[in-house]
Amino acid sequence: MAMSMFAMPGAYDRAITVFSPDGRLFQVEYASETVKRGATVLGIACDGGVVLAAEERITSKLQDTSFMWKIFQIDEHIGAAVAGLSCDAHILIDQARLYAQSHRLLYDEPIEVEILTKRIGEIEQLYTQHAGVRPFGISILFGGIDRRGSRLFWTDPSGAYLAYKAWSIGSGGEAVNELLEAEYRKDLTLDQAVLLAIKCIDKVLDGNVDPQKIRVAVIPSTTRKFKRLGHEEISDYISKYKRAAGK
Amino acid sequence: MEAWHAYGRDGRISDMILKGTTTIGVVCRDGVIMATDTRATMGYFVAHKRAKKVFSIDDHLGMTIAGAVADAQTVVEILRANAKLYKYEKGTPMPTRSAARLTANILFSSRFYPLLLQAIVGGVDGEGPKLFALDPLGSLTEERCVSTGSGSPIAYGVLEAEFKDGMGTAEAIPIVVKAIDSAMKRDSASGDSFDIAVITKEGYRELSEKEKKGLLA
Repeated sequence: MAMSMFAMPGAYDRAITVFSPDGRLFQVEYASETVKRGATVLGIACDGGVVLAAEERITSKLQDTSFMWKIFQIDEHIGAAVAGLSCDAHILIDQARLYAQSHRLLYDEPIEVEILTKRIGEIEQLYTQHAGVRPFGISILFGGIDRRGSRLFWTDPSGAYLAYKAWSIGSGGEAVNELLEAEYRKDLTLDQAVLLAIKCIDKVLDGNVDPQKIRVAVIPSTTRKFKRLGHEEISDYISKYKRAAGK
Repeated sequence: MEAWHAYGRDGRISDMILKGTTTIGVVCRDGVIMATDTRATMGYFVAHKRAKKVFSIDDHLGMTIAGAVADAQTVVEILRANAKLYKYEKGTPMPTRSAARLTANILFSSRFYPLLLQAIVGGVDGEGPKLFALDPLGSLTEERCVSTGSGSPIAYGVLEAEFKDGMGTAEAIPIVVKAIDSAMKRDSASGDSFDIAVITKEGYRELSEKEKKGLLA
């Protein structure tokens, strides 16, 4: 843990509502550290659509791997990938789902990805400025297609949010972002984006990607509907990726 | 939604109420058929000739409405939102039985100031094709063949004579069309045209104008 880069914690990290002398909210920063320990997820928004991929960290052979805990459907046209404390994730994912439906009931239209992210960011911010609560220990990538096209948004424990063309969070985030910076193009097709996502997860897994260790969901710009890739589809993509990579 | 008003026979303004209507739901071997007329009346005034009275709730669920349009549309929207939330959280589509129960609960929770809605909820799920009828106070009964509204006695006449349990949708569709058509002819509060939706394991589908014309010939 890189504690040395922080000012001496001391009295400024006991209550979240207190700023340190150099203007930092330590609890919020510590929450971001939790995110960095989470299994890697990434999102890519391109002309072909949006791809969300996750590293499936299996801690035990007894685990039922059909249980979803990294990538969630929020509405027909939006998905989310999370990194950090899964218990916190479920709360915000449920809230996002409710917001998406409530927006439909109020305005008879699908919610824009940016607006949804903003609402969730507002909840996260509330938990950094309230007595007796702690910040959410998760970052979420919201990916979807709305009237503005393919959109990818990131939000962190402070409630801040940013739009990205492609981004990765979690333990392998830094390494994947390097790769995304080099290889992302706006005009990627959906297939190419999926293959790029697989390449990224492969990097995180030190070259050992296989269908059990990765989860992928797509929102194609043709259908605008969220769809999880099945086991066979992922296997096909992985074979394609390995062939192209000469493995 | 604009307010529709007209003077009823007693001189009072009446709101858009679909008591005058015919709706039909039947369970077939391979799916459910739900049909409605499209006339909306306010007293003797035809307020709307193409009123939508059958809705998809999800890909595998449908609902017909009769009663106050505002109440019905609100319940349809709430049901749609809940069907989605159920699907995302549980990972499987909402069973027909559960959708019907949810609707009944919404209606019963307004027991003392009722929502003026009479509904038929139908769909195809893991247990096969199912149909449920609900009254405005929230009663819930499972049905094989049901009709609601002022045209229902006439529709039942045709259905009792010709519909047989265990028919396939292909066989039953012309019978349902006959029933609606007869009701539209003899019930002044029903008419103008009809909508017919078929839900099979392939999903919810409303028949096109061309198909409907073919069936009436």
